[in-house]
Formats: sequence, structure tokens, C-alpha cells
Amino acid sequence: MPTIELDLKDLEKLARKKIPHTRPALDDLVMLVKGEVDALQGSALRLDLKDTNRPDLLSAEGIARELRARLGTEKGIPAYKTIKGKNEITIEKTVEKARPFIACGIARNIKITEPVLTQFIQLQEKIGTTFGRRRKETGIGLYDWDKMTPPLKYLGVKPAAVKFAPLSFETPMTLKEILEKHPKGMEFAHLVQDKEYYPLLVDAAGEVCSFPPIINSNHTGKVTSDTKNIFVEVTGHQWKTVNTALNVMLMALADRGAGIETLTVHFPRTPAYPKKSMVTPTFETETIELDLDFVRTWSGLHWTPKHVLALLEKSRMKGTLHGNKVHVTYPAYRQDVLHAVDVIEDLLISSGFNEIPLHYPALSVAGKENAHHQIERMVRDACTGMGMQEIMTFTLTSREKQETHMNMEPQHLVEIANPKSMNHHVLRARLIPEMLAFLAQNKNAAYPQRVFEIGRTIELNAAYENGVREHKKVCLALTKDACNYTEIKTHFETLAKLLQWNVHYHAHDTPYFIPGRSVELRAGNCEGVMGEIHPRILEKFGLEKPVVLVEMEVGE
Amino acid sequence: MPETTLSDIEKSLLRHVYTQRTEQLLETAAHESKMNVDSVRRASAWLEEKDLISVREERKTKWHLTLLGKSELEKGGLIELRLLRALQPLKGAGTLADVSKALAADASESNAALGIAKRNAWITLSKKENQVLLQETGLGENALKGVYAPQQALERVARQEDLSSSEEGTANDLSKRGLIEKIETTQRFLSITTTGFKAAEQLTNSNQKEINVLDAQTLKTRAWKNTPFKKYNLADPVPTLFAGKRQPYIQFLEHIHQYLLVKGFKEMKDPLVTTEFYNFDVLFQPQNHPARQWTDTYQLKEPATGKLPGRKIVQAIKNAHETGGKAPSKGWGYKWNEGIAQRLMPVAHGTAHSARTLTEGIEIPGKYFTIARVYRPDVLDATHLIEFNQLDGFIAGKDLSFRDLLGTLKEFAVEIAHAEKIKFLPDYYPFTEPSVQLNALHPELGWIELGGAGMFRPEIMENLGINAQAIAWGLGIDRLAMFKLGINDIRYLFAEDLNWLRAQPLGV
Repeated sequence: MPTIELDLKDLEKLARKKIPHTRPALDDLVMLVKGEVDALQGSALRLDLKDTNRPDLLSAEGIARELRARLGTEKGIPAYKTIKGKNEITIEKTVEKARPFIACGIARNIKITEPVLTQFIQLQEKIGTTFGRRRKETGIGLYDWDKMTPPLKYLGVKPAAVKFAPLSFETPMTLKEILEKHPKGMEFAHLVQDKEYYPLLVDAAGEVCSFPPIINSNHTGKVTSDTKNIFVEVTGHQWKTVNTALNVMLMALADRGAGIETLTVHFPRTPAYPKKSMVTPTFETETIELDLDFVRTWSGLHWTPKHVLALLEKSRMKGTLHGNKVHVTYPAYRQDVLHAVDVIEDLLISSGFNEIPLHYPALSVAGKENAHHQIERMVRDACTGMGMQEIMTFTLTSREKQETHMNMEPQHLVEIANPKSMNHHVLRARLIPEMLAFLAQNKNAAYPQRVFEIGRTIELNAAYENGVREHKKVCLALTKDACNYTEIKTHFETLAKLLQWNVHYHAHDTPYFIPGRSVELRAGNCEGVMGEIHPRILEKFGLEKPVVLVEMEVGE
Repeated sequence: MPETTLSDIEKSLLRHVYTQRTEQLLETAAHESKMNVDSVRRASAWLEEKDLISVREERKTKWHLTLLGKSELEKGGLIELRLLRALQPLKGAGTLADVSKALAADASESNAALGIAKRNAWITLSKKENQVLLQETGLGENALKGVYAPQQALERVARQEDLSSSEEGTANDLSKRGLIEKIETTQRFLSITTTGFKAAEQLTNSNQKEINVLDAQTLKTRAWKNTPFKKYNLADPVPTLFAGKRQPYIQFLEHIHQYLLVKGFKEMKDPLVTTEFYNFDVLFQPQNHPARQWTDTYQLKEPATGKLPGRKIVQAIKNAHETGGKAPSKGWGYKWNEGIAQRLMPVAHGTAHSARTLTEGIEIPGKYFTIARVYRPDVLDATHLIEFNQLDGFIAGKDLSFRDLLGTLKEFAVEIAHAEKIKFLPDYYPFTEPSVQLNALHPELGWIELGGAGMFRPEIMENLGINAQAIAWGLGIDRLAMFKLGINDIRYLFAEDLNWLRAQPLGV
């Protein structure tokens, strides 16, 4: 979920409407853009944006654009004009495999202050991170146009063929060195590393402008509050995505008073490219058809066609009525519109979620639980009836607890590939180690201690779906100054009798019990072990009193 | 009988412990019974061996200031606060070099301070001309006014005050930073056992002319005819009995489970491990979606991949992603990779089970639920669990609309969370449209976020061949459980504190 920072006074100016500076009024307002207040200090707002497919909402300008329609100062599709420019950029065939597309535009005569610049840089960063999937799909570059010499060239070069000084560095480096040494180079190296040719943007004077999408050059790629004309480029793998990002960035610049000038992008003549050339940006629109019956089915609301058209305009779209259908036109940056339901959601937001009359579905169907609950309840009743306290431990644990401490050879454990901590990197295959760890935590609680846990375990088993087998198990444990097999067997037999288990006992040594003092249990398909924990194991867990226990399967 | 086998000090101590209503600190018992502490220690060990009294040991920990902690306080408080203060004369913005200088700290110290300030969102960092630039966010203001928990805890430790259990996390952090340390002492508490109780009664009554215990012998000899019964002393203490009880969180979950059964919901299968196919792909979550990143969910190393269902279903899901498939949708327009869908992971959300249920076939109309164990990578602390339970479910039916979803959510809010008011907020999930967040005004917790919901997208339903709508939700029930159990530390849902478990009343 992206988080952005903005200033409410600035937002107020852009939205041309009074904006509440206090909660909960502000909460109600930002929910119109699927925003959630993360922190508010005076007029400084940190906002979580829940929709990852709306790059246009990642800045104050974009949020204001949406609010102007929802609050009624404007309506319909936002209007942006372009100035036809003469500048050109050529894509060379060498970049096709690495990162084929570039789209660009120039924002002319912009007067920006430091806080506005911060918004632009934030928007550029956030689009790259969220919509651009950490720059994999798209990455945006901003440049001082007055330092560039057109026409420009976007091409692929060998990793060590070209040297330039990347942003914040004075000394020139090869592209390979940038990936090895520059912080941004290291962060994004994986995007180009395996390519034969790396993408490069150069101008007519032979000056390197950037190594997209990694880093700009220190010379042209620095935008400050003194910059008058900003060149914007977006590179990526899909023409559509690249243009969406470009439009969003340029609209924000236009909202701050810039004139948007187009460039012509010349494509190489290979099948990967749609045409010979295209002019960017184009603030295009797209269309989708909305069936009014479907709107009724999905929303449950009986809006008149006229009302649907009005709600569309509040949602920055436009509709024309054709019988029972509405032809909807929407700005192309709304790449999240995949299906008519995506438009319906906008209608509902414009209409106000909390204004909708509720309806309660009346279906007569019977409830049913999974089979294991019944047996689980019986085991629980039996154990609490014997006066034992139930506990619940985590299923995520460590190999150390499950195997090393238990004197068990490594086997059967389901392991996490990306654990955050080595205390929680496997799923438990047995309850006993977790029980011992629990008892070790409670050496200051009154003895005797009699506790039980009913829980799930999981282990590798190729014969089962996904190669893992789950069990429901119960573990009963007793500990005090002196406790013996008779006592745990008394408890277990009571349980077995109540559950009508027919238990077979046979002597069997298990590595964590004292040799000669443990048994294997079998009742139907369920297996278990019972015995007296070996003093060496007690020491490993830091236990100071003997422990007798039983662990038994009660189902799958 | 006891009096013949007990020494004098044992007898004295047994009599004394017998007269106490509650357990008593060994040293207090010695003082009150006017016995020598060493004798009491010896006698208590012997009596414990005979099971006449029980001795409970309690390890008490007390936090002490380390030399480092002391010097930190002398310098004017925790380094992250000093960092904030150092930024003040610089109007809230400065380079790392300026700040390090003002702090008079070495690189590793100032880096640590930077890390903490960043984590607290007091500052943001940016790079400018090879310099690290610190910008204050305004959130540190309260901390400077003296409401910063770690600083308060440090000061309280310096004043030798006890920390409350809610400060434990903070204290552990401070201890990790080497500012405070734990010192443990053992205290012994004496109390009477059931056998000790009887022995003491006989001890005190052996020479008396009253019947204390009416036993079979007394009935046989009819001695009760001539001897009066001793009257109850209402103040006499009795031994503690720990009742066998269910784990409180399980009891809470069981309650919700029963509620849903009564409401006509069928329980879904809920394995702990799933393929990404059910966790993400069936749910129309594109494979390059940010939430599918390595850091947001766990993945399995062993086993690494699992089995997908039949070809037809796999193809249908592939089509849904690439072109929208049978639904009139654009789809996500990328090349769907079967290998990614096969990867195994511990279930990250209960909706994975809904996806599986939808895929395997549902009844229409039908109501389904799961109280699923789900896993999220995080660091376990007082506010974060890495595994927890989620209530998920859906209702499928031909005439269901967004209005039915909102009505159903309100019913849950009122009946499960006892909400006084509710609020719906637009939300985003890749698998539902519209998506909505449910907030509830709880009588004591105030406004809480209860869960997320929506209508399953047509791309999911149509490509699985289901000709109906489904309204779906996932409710976070742990927050409610914490309230019901009266706990502030979320780890107590899986409490590893036996004293606490034993002390919990019934009726959650």
C-alpha cells in the first residue's frame, strides 16, 4: 500500500475547495480517493492509498483532480491540452531486448517551489515503486531540458562501453560500475544485469542523459526549483503502461501551470513496435459499455439512466445513453478499469457508500462444520474434566526446538524459505517440544502443573497433496517434583476410555524419552508416544523438574 | 501421626502456615511466627518434602540502569531525542554530518539514532549532492514534550520504579540497546497443602475436647454423643485448586464458530499450506502484484512446489489473467506463468480457502466460512503476530448485490462485535469489486477496523463457471478477542503464562 505525504493547504488550493484539517471530517473526505489518514500534524498529512492500480492518485495534484469532481467543482473527464512540439527522439533496435519503449514530453515555463518539487519527486518515485512494480514495468526520469541538445536517442550499449557521472557523483563510471557501486545501481541492478545491451538516453551533443531506469546523469538529470523547462521520460516494456505513467506525471506538472509540449518518438522497424512513429503525450480516452441491467444486478440499486450519467461525471468519466446501454468514456490513465464492475464501483463511491440502503440476504441453508471439531471437543472436555489447563502454542517454530533439542535427526520438517527470524522458520511436526518450551516458561507457577494442547502439526509426506501431511494431535503433560509413568498413563487411559479408543501399547525407544521408559501407542489409525522426558532434554529446555507426557494423533 | 514425626520447628511452622489465609513470603512467615529465618528455610524444605506445605518460587526481575544507560541520561536522554533536538536549531532539516557533530557521536551511534528516528517516522531521509539530508516530519514534537515511551521507561528504571507489563516490550528494546539490564532474585512463598491442612488440624486438636474432623472412627465409637463439635472458623484458609479450563482464545474462536453454524454457514477446508494458485491466482491477483512480493508473504523452501488442479481450471485461470477469459474484461494483459502458481506457501489469508472452495464447486445458494490460521512475515512483538486467525467467508446466490453485502456486514458488526454504529469505506482488493472496509464503533474500543469485503470479480466467478454473484469478507477477529480477554499484548492470545491462564475467568 503506497503512502504519500502532502500539505493540506496546498491540497486546498489545488482542489479549490475548503478541506477539513481535523479528523474525522478529513477521514470522510480522503475515503473518496480510497485514502486512509496515517498521520496528521497541523496541515502535514501522511496518507495511505489503498488502490495500487491508480498511479494518478499518488500526488497532491492527482488527489485534488479527483476531489474536484467528487466535490462538484468540476465534472467529467479532466481536460489537458498539449502544444505541438518539433523535437524528436529515436529508439534504436539495440534497446529492444533490454527495455523497448520510451515515451516523453516537455513541461514548459514551470515555476516551482521546493514543496512542489518534493511532490513531483514523490510522484515519480511512487509511480516507479507501485504502478511500475519497483521500476520493472515503468520508471520515470525528470531532466533540466535547457541542458539537453535535441534530437535525443534511446539505445542499447554494452555494459562497459560508455562512461558518465551518475547523479550525486562527479567521477564518470561505466554502466557496469554504476550497477556495482552506485546505491541506485545496486538497488535496481537486477532489472538489466542479464541483458547484453543496457538502455541509455543520449542527446545530440553526445552527452549521456541517463541510464534508464537506474539513474540520471549528474549533468542533465538534476531538477531544482530553478529549473524552467522539465523533460519527462518514461521507459518500460509495454507501450500502454509507459504512456499511462507519462500522462500522470505530465498532468501533475500541468496542474502546477506548465504547458505540455509533445515530442515525436521514432520506432525501429521491427515487429515489436506498433508503428513507425508516435507523438507523446496523448491525453487519450478509452471506452467501455455499461449495461444498465447489470448495474442494477451488481449494485442492487435502481438508479435512473440520468442519475447514472451524473454519477459518471462525478467519477471523472462521461457517458452517453444508447437504449439500455451507456457508452462510457474515461481517461486512459484509469488502467484499473478492466470490466464494467470497475465503473460501477466508481458510481457507488460517487453516490456514497454510507447512503446506500442495506439489504439482508435471506437464504435458507443449513450450517455444517468439518468433522474434526466433534472429536476435538470431546478430547477437550475429557482433559478439562481431569482438571487440566488447556494451552495454545504457535505452529511456526524453530528446527532447534523441534529437532536439535529433542535429540532427533533432521527430517520431515516443512521449512520457510524467507523467515524473518530463526525462532520461526519451520512448521511444527510435533507438539511435545512446544509443550516443553511452555513448561520452561512457567517454572515460577505453582506445581503440580497439568496442561494439554490440541493442535495441528504438519510434516513432509510425498504421498499427500502438495507433499505435506497434516495431523490434529493432543499432547498431555504433567510436571512436579516427582512424577512417573503411572500418573501419565492414568490420564491417558481416562481419555482413551472416554473417547472409546482401543489402545495398543508396545515398548519402543524414542530419542527424547529415557531408554526403556517410553511406549508407542496405536488406536485405530491414530499413533502416539508416551513416556518420561530424558534429563538431557530437560536440561536443553532449561527444565528443573521431571516431565511425563503423551502425544497422540486424534485425526487428520 | 504427624506430631511424632515432626520436629519442633516443623510443628511451629506448620501451625503458622495453617493460620494464614493466603500464601506468605518465607521471610514474612519467619518474622510473624518469631522464628529464625534459617530454621524456617530448613523446616519449609522438610515440610515440602512431606507434602505438608507447598513452596512456590517466584523469580522476580528488576530492571537496572547500565553504565551506558546512565551516561545516556546524563547526556540529556536517548540519542534519538537528542537527534531531534539537534535538528531544532537547523529548522528541522540538516545533513547527517551536521547532526553527527551536534550529537558528538560516532558513526555507528548516529546511524542507530537515525534508524530509530526513521522508524518512528520523526524524520525522512533523502540524498542530496552525496550528503544524507534529514528532514523532520513534525511527528517527533510529542516526544520532545516528554511523551516518548522508551525515554519514560529509562527514567523510571533510573528512579528504581517497577515497570508495568505493558512496558515490557519497551524495556526489552532498551535492554537490547544495552541501556538497562535485568537482575533476577528468587522469592519463596509458603502455603498449606491438603495433607498439611489435615495434619495441622490434628496437631492443633490432639489435646482438645472438641471434634474437629468427623471421621468413621468417631461414628463407630459414637464419641460424638459426649463431645461437642468444634465450630467453623470462617477466616480459616483453604488450599487453592486449579480448575481444568479451556484456553481463552480457543473458547472465543469456538464461540464465533458456533455462531456461524447457527447462521447456516458451511465450514470450508483449511489446510495450513497452499499453492499460490489458491492464495493469489484464482483470486485474480496478477503475478507481478506488489502484495505477491517476497517480503509480504512467506514461501516454502521445502517442499517448494505443489500440485495444480485439472488442466481445464488452470487454463481458465490463465485466460482470466491474460485476456479476461470468459468474462467481458480486459484481463491484466501479461503472460501468466504456471510455475509461479505452483509455488507453495503457508496460507496468507483466509480467502485462499474461499478460492479453493469456489474452484472445487459450490452450492447455489450457499454460505461458506473458515476460521483460518494465516501467516505473515513480521517480527513477533506486543502488537504483531506472525500467525493469527482470520474469519473469512462468502455467500453465493443469483440475486445478491452490493446492498446484500453491506447488510451482511452490518449484521456481523452488530452480532459479533456489538457495534453501536458502522461505517463503510471504499477499499481495494484485486479479487473484489466494489471493495469495502468495515469500520465499527465498539462500545469500549471506539472506532475499529473490523475487516475488508467485496463482491468477487466476474473474472473469478465466470471463469470458474459459476453463474451467480458472491459477496465475500475477511474479518480480523484478534482485536475483538484481545478486548474480550482484557489484554493489551497480542501475544497473550497464545499465552505462554500459566499463572495468567489459570487466573482467567470463564464466560468469554
